[in-house]
Amino acid sequence: MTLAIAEALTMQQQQVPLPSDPDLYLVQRCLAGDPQGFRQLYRRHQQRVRSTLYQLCGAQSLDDLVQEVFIRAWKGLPKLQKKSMFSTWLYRITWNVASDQRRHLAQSRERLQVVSQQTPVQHQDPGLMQLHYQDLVQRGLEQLSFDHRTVLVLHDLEELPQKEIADILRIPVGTVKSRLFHARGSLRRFLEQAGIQL
Amino acid sequence: MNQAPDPEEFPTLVNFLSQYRPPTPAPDPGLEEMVVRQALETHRFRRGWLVPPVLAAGLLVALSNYPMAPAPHVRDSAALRDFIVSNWNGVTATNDDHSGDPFIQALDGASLQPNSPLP
Repeated sequence: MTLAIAEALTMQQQQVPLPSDPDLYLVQRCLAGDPQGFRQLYRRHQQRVRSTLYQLCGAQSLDDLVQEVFIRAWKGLPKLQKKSMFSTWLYRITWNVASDQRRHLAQSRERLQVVSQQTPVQHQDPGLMQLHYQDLVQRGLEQLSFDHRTVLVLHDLEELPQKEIADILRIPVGTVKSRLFHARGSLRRFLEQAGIQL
Repeated sequence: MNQAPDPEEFPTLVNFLSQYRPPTPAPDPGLEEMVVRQALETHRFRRGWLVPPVLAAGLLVALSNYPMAPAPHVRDSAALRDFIVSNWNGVTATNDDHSGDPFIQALDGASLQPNSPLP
C-alpha cells in the first residue's frame, strides 16, 4: 500500500515538474492569482530585506519599510522580465525604498536624530563589550556615504557577490569594487580612532 | 584610475563586521498578515483583474443589442404617412371618375338614405 502511494507520488511529480528555481515557481503562482505564493515569497526573503533595510536606514519605521518593499514587489510582479532573477530585483526595490527613506530622513534630520537616540534597540542580553562593538559598527556605518554604505552592507554583511551588487545598483562591477575599497578603508579608520586595532 | 581592491583585503575588518553587526530588530508579529492582506487589497492578478474587463465587454455587447427604440414604431409611422397621403389625395381629388374604386362603386349603387346601412 505504502509502495503504491509512493509510486503514485513519484508519477505525479514526473508529470508536473516543479521549476528548479523556487522563486520562479512562487512568482508564477502569484501571477496565477494564488496569494499563498506571495506569502511564501515573503517568508523566503523578508529576513534579508529587513536586515538590509536596518543596516541602511536604522530601526526607525523598519516594519513600514519592509511592508513598502513587498507591496512594491507585488505590484511590479507582472513587469518582472527575468523572473529567475527575482532576488536581485527585490534587492533593487529594497535599495529604492532605502534611498527614499534616506531622502525623507534628510529632510527632518534634527527631529529624527532625537527620536533615534530615544528609540530603544532590542538586544538579546549580550555582554557589555559586544554591545559596545555593535554600537561602534552602527555608528561606523552611519558615517559612510549612502553609496559606500550600500555596497559594504550588501557585500560584507549580506554576502552578495559583486556581480549581483552591480546588477542591483545598475553600476559597473569596477565601481562596486572601488566603493567597497573606500568604504572599508573609511570604516577601518573610524574603528581605529575608536580604539579598535584591525 | 581607481585602485582595484583585493577580494581578500580587510579580512580582519570583514570578520569584525560580521561578528558585531547590530542585530536586526524582530518584526511585529502581525506584519506578515498585514503585508499579504494589503497586497491583496491593493492589486489582484488574473482572477481579480480579468473579471472587470470581461464584465465590461459583456455589458457593451448587451447594450449594443438592446433596442433603444421599438422598430414597429417606424413601420407604423410609414403606414400612417401612406394612409394620410392617400386619404388626402382621395378627398382633394378633382377627378370624379371613381369607376376604378370598388368602394365608390358600391356607394353609387346604394340608395343613400339617412339610416340605411352601408353595403
